[in-house]
Amino acid sequence: MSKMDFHAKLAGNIFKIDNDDTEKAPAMERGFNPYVTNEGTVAAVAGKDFCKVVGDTRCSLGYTILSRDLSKITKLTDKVVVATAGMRADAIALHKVLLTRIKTYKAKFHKYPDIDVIARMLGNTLYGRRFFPYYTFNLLCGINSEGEGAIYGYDAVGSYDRVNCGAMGSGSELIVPILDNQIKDHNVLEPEAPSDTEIVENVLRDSMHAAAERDIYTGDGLEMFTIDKDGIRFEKEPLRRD
Amino acid sequence: MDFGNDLDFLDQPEFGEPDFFTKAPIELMGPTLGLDIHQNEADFEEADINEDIGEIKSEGFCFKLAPDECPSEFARSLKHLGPKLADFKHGTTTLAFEYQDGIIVAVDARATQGAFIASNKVRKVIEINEYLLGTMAGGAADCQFWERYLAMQCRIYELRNSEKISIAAASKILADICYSYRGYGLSMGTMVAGSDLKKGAQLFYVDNDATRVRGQLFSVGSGSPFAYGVLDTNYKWDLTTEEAIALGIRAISSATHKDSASGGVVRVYHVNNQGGWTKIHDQLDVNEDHYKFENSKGLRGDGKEGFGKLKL
Amino acid sequence: MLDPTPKTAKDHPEISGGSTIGIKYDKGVLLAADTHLMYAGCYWYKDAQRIHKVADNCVIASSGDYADLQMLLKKLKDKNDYDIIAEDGHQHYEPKDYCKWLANVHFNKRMRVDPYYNSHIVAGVDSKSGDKFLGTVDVHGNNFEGNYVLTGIANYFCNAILDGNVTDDLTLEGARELMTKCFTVLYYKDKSQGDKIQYVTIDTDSNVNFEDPVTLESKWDYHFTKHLTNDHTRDVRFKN
Repeated sequence: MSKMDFHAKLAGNIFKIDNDDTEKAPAMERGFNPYVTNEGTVAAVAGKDFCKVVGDTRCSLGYTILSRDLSKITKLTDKVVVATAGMRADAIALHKVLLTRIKTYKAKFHKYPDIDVIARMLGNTLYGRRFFPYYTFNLLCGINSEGEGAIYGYDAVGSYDRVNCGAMGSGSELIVPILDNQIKDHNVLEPEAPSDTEIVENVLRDSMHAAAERDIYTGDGLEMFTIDKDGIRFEKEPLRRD
Repeated sequence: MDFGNDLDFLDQPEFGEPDFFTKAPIELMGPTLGLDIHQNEADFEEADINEDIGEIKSEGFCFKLAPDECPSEFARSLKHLGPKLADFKHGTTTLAFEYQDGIIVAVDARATQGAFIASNKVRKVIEINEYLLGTMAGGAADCQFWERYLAMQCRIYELRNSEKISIAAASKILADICYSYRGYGLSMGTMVAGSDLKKGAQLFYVDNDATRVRGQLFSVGSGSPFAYGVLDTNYKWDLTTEEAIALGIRAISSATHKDSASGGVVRVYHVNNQGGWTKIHDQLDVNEDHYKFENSKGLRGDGKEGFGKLKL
Repeated sequence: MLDPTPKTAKDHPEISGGSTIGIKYDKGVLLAADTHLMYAGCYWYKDAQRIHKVADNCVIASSGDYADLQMLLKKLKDKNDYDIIAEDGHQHYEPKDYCKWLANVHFNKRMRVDPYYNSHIVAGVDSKSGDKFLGTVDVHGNNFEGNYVLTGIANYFCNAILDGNVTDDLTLEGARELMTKCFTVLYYKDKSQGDKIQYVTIDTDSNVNFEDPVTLESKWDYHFTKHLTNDHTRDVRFKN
């Protein structure tokens, strides 16, 4: 397709007023669908001086389980991890891009980027694919330069915001209400960041078990990352395998 | 003769080398932050579409396009391609109006993904710089990204011309961006409010069709009809700042009461005529507001005042 | 000059193969695939090899489009040749790397919305550490490892057979028995599966053994296949 042709096609689309797009099947749907969902759930809570992230390890395709042991969480620096639900192939590509860009940053500035820097970078990376989005739903978790726990939640095209706690993926609708209730203190405008790791850990673990109970794309294994001033710790435990 | 398959990359000598594929996604799929490469005016004027790789280079960024497909068509088909994929954050009430002592900007804070309330504490006023504010309606990512980009452009303008950019020029940068991406499926309805020393506070409405309008009173988003109702009834040019703030809060609260896609908290900003803005309210719970207003009218606020008095 | 014929991508596989299965056993990896290729719902080729050796220590088994597979094999061969031509005393590409490479190729093509319609099982033994490797790659570029991996419709039929039975001390005979069970089920239930199965083993000493295809023992003259199920139940109903 030549450039002229492209613009003609584009112009045709601009002037065609057609809001009712549900009727006809879009062109892409007839052929190969580049998107497929492997879903899964990730959740995180930021505390006063720590951050806890959990993710399940199931990778499914439709109603089949492709793998029961596939991590959704990648360590980016000593203080930051990224947890991604959605399409695995896109997530792998995205994590690779992030790691490379962080490496480049390290080479340029002789230090690892802080979480707010990575947050902006991830937002830009996702937005760079605005017209062919990464099918990924990300939580960027870690501790910031002041040592506070910090979580950034994203949508598929890179809109982001700092949150106290969040959940992404197929089980997010199940987990977010639990976190609202247990961590954020529902209807409180200035929520206090929790300082008890034990409580946070239990809430996260329970909510993941709840999601595994009620969501078909969540289960098999639970990974828990704890990020604090001592670095990143990692635990693993089983979830429902059905 | 084109055989229909784009296999050129297979012929490249480095194909199959370990770094070939690890290199490719970064260059092709992320925004290249090398601003120096595309800084000449021609690049800025017209988006450079490279169909071979399927990418668009403009504004110093490189956007990956879906290959061999009209981008707007692809954007429309996204919701069929992947569940939740095109559920970008949506749903809003934002308003801004000029009055004698500047501009009041008031917004709600709800973001919905489909029927799910993704957040009730989104920041829909984007603080572009110390004299410019932008509001966010439509796609959250589009507004966030391009207003961030606008901040960068304003700063570059300041450095080049050693004076602050006018509000008209700043809003026009945003409108130009929208124009160059027309048909690509951007979704943004934004109000640029700012204040410069020459002309005082000014308000512009810019949307994804590249409409750019200077006006006194705007409201954007799904709750805007309700907000307009309150605003048009009570708006006067001679409002005091206190009255204007109260009006902004009132309009947003009414809109969140009637529009389920709006809600959360009200945030209010004041742009003064002296080249700056102040944040008036960061978080005002609309639920409390609702009862406050109803009580001030002598009502309970549950919407069932007359039911007990009905005599059949 | 406008090109009158728009560029089109293939939207489904033409000549394609069915499921493949890979299992790790105690001293290596066992791969199996049938030798049939389908075209438009027919058995088009009955003795096609669907498991290929790509390096001394690496074997891939593929289901999906055969033309795409041949294209990939050509590229894999080139890649291996570069490795040999380098003559630097190192083997650069381990099975793990081939798996990642295939995933990258698939992801790259998927980004062009013109994919290779294959899913592969990559099996091998690391030439340095001697570790067994068994991984899989699909159309979208998703890749992962496992003790057993499946492609195609085997994902639906054979997970239940293999899950829990593939342990660290599984012998070759045990693995082969499991594999036979899987393919028997597939042969009974999947219309695209043939009964000629080729087994390939690759053991920790990097001995790759391509066996001759064997024909599955199958029995079709069960009572329920000879008599219509409805007739049978009707008889029962009337009898009672």
